[in-house]
Amino acid sequence: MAEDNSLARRYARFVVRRIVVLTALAVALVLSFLGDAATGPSALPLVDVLNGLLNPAGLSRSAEVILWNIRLPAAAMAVVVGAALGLAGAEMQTVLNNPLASPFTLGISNAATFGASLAIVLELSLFGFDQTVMVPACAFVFAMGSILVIQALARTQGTTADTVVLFGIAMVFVMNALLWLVQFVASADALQQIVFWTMGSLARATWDKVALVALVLAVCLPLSLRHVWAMTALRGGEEHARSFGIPVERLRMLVMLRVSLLAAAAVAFVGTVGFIGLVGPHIARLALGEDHRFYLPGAALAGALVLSLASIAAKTLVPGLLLPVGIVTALVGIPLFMALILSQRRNA
Amino acid sequence: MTGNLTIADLAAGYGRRPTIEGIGLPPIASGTLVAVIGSNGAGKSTFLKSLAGLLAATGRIELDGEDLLRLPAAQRVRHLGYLPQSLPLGSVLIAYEAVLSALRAIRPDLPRAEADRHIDDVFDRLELRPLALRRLGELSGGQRQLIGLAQAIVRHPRLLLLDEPTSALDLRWQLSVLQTVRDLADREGCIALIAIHDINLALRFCDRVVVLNKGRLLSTGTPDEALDSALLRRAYGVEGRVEACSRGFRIVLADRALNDGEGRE
Amino acid sequence: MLLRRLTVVLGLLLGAIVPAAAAEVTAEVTDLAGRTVRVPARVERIVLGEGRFLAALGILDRADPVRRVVAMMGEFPLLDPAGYDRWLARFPALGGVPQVGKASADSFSTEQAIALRPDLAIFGLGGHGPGPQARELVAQMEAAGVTVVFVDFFRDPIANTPKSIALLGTVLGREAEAAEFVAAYQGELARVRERVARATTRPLVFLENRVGLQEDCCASVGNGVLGRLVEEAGGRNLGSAVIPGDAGTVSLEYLLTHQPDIYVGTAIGNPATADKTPRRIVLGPGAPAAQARETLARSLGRPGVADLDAVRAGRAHAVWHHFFHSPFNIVAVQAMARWFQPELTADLDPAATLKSFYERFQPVPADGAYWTSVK
Repeated sequence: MAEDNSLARRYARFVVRRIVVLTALAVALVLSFLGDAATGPSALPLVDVLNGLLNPAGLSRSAEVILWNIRLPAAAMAVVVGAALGLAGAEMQTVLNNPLASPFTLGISNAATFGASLAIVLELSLFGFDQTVMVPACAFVFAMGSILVIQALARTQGTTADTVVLFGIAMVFVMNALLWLVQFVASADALQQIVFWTMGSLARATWDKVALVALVLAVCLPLSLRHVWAMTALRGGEEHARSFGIPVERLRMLVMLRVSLLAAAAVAFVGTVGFIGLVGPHIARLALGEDHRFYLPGAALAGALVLSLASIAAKTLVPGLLLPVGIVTALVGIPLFMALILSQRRNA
Repeated sequence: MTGNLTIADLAAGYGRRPTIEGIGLPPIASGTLVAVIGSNGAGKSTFLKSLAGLLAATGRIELDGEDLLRLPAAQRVRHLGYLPQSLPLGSVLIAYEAVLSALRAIRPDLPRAEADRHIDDVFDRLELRPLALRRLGELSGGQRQLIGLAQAIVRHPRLLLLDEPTSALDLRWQLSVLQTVRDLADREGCIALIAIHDINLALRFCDRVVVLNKGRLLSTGTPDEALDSALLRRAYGVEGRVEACSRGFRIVLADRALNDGEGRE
Repeated sequence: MLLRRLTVVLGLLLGAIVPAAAAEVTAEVTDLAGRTVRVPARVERIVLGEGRFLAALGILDRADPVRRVVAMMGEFPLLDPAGYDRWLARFPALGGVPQVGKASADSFSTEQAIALRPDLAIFGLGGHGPGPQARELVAQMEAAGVTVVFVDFFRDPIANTPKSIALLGTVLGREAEAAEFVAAYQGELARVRERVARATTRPLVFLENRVGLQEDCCASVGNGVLGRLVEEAGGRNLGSAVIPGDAGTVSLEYLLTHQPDIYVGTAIGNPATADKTPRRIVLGPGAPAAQARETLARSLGRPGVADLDAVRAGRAHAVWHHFFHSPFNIVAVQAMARWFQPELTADLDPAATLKSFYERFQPVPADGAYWTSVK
C-alpha cells in the first residue's frame, strides 16, 4: 500500500503508546520498591538506604541486617507476589469473561488458609521440616488440590465459565466451614496464629521465600505469553474464538491451572492479600487495553506496584505499628475498585 | 481462488440423537452464495456448525477434493471462516486488535508485513477503516457484526459460513452485510453459506437456496427451483405465494398462517 | 636480685597472657529451648520478649532492673495493669522503654528491636511473645549480633523456673543472686513436695481458667501447665481427663455429673477496672481482701456453677492468674496445697512465703490479696 497512513502504521502508534505506559509502570514500580526499602519503624536515613543498597558492607551491622534481611526481602516479596496476583487476576478475568473475577474467586485462598490452619493446629512437622516449611507447604497443597477438584467436577458438566464459577463458589463455602471447624478445636495460641495468617503479611519474608515465588512467576509468565493471541481473541467473544479454532475449554483449564499455581504460591507465603488480583488487571485494562501482549505484563506490573504501595502504606498509616498488608489492600482496595468501576461506567 | 463444495449424508447433533441427518447437496461452485433457510429448530445453525467443525459430524464434506471431516481441527480452520450468531463482545478491545488476533490465532507464523497487509485489505474491502481504531464497546451492533465478518474473512477462507448475520441488525445494516458478502463471493470466488431468517432478504442476494425442516433437507436449488407454495406450506406452515418482483428477484408473500394439521409436515 | 627481677618479669608476662586468654573464653550455656548459646562478654542492652520477664530481672538486678532494658513487648500493662503500675511507680524510666510489640508473637517488630542495638534478647518458650518456632526472627536477631536466649516460666514451671533463673544469672553476670533465689525456690518446693507426698487421697479439682474472660462457663486446662501445678499441689486435675490439649472448655453438664471436690478459679481482674469487667475476680497487687472475696462470691453465683457441690459446701477458691507466668509460681502451689491437703500442710504459710520472696527478690511490694476463699 502506497499510503503512508496505513492502518498498520496508525495502530503502531497505539503500540508505542502502550510500550511507554508499560515503561512508566516499571519505573513507578522501581521507585515504589526503593520507597518500601526506605520506610520502616526504625529511622534509617534515605542516604544510608541508598548507600546500603550499593555497598552493604558500609553500613553498621544492625542497619545492614535491617535493610538486607528485613526490609528488602519484604519489599521484594511485595513485588513478586503483586506481580503473580496481578497476572493471575488478568488471566482469570479473561477466561471467565468476568471483570469481577479474581484469582481467589474459585476458593484458592480459602483452601490455602484451611491447609495452613491444619499445619498450625496439628503442629505438623514431617520429614524433619518444621512449621516454617510445613505451613506454606500445606497451604500450597490444599490450594492446588482444590483447583484440581473443581476441574474434575467441571469436566463432568462441560467446562463452561459458569460451571467453573459455580463449583468455585461451592469450594469457598466448604473450605470456610472446614476452617471454622479447625478454629473451633484450636488452642488460643494456634487460633491467634491462624487469624494472623489470614490477614496477609509481608513481614515474615525471607530471600528463600522470595526466590520461590519468583521462580513460579518466571515459569508462568512465559507460558501465559504463549497464549496471548488466543486470549486476545477470547475478548472478542467465546464463540468467535472457538470459530478460529481456539480450543476454548482446554484453554480455560490450562489457564486455571496457571492461575492457581501463581495464586497458591503467593498465598502460601504471604497469606490472603485481597484485591490485588482484582485491581491490578483493571488498572492495566484502563491504561493498556485488552491486547494481551501488553495487558498481561501490564497487569503484573500494576499488581506489583499496588502491593508495593500498600506495603509502604502498611508501615506508615499508623505510626509505630506495622499493619498486616492484607488489611491495607482491603481498606484501600475497596474504594479504589469502586472508583474504577464507576469511572468505567461513566466513560462507557 | 476456486472452491468446490460437496456435502453428502451429513449428520450431526448435540446429544445422542442427531439434530440433522441425511443432508446431501449437489456440488456448489466457487463464487456461489447459498442461503440456508427454514423455520426455527430446522437445524440451520447445527448445519453450519457441523461444517465449521464446532460439532461432531458424520458423513462427507469435501472442499476441493479434501474431506474436511478427516482433517484435524487446527487445519480445517484454515480453510473456512465462521461467523457465529452472537455479536462480538462489547469489550475494550480495539477493532483492529480483534481482527489481528483472529488472524494470529490461526496463523501465528505469518510475517508481520504480510499480516499487516491482510488486515489493511479486509478493513478496506468492508469499508471499515474509520472504525478500525475504535473499541468494540463503542461500536453499534451492526458495526460489531461487520468486525466479526472481518475476523471471519481476514484469512481469505475458501468457505464462508455465516450464522444469522442479520438477525440483530436494522435494515440498513442487513443490506450492508449481505451486499458485502455478495461482493466477496463475486470478487474472490469463495463459497458463502448463510443461515438466514428473513427469506426475502435471502432471495435478494443468493444464488442457491437450501431449505431445511426438522433436521432434514426439504429442497435445494435456485430460488426458482427450490421454492413454491407447497414448500412454504410444509416448511413454514403458511399459505403463501412465490412471485417475481419488479426487478426479477423472487419474493415470498405469505397470506395466512395454517392451523395445526392443515398440511404442515 | 636477679631472681626478683625474673619473678617480676614472669609475673608481668603471666599477667598479660592470662587475662587475655580468659577474655577469649566466654562461657557456653544451653537455654530452655535446647539451644547452645555463647554468653556475651557484657550485657548492657536487653530486649524482653515478654514484659513480665521484668520480674525475673528484678531477682537478678535488684537495684535497677529497668536500667539494662532497651525494649520490651507490651503485654505486661495490658494483662496485669496493677502489677505494671507498681513497677512504673518504682521505676519511672519504665514508661520510656519502647514497646516493640503488643501481646502476640506476630506483633513483634524485629526491625525496631534490632535498631535499638541490643546485646541480648530474652524470649519465652510459650506465652505472649516470639517462641522457638519463630526461627527466621531469631536468625535475623542473631545476624544482627544479638544473643538470643529462651527461658520458661510457663510451659513447665516447676522444672524450668530454677533453670531459667540460673541461666539468666550466668548470662547477666549475676550468678550469686540467681543461686540465692534458686535455693529459696527449691527449698519451698521441697517443703510442699514432702508434705504432699504423704497424701493418701487427692481431691478432684476443677480449675476454671481466667474467670470472666469468656461469656459462658467453663474454660479449663488439660494436662499441661496449670494442670500439672494442680497435681503438684496435691490435687487431681479434672480437666486432664476431658481436655486433649493444653486448654479447652468443659461443659457445665459434665461438671454437674462428675462433681469436683474443690473449685479453683484463676483471677484476671484488677481493682482499677473492676467495674468495667464485673465478671472477673479481683486479686493481685493492691487488691483489697474484701473485694477479692466479694468478686469470687459473685462469680460463683452463676447459674450452674452455683449448683456445684463444691461451691455449695464452700470449697471454692481463687488464685491470682499471673502467678503462672511468674518465677514465684511456687507460692501459688503452696496456696493450693493448703486447700487440697489442709491437714498435711497446716504448717505451710504461703502468705509468709510470698512476703519473704518479694522482700528478698523483688523491688516492688506484694501488697494485696493474691488468693481468696469463700470461707
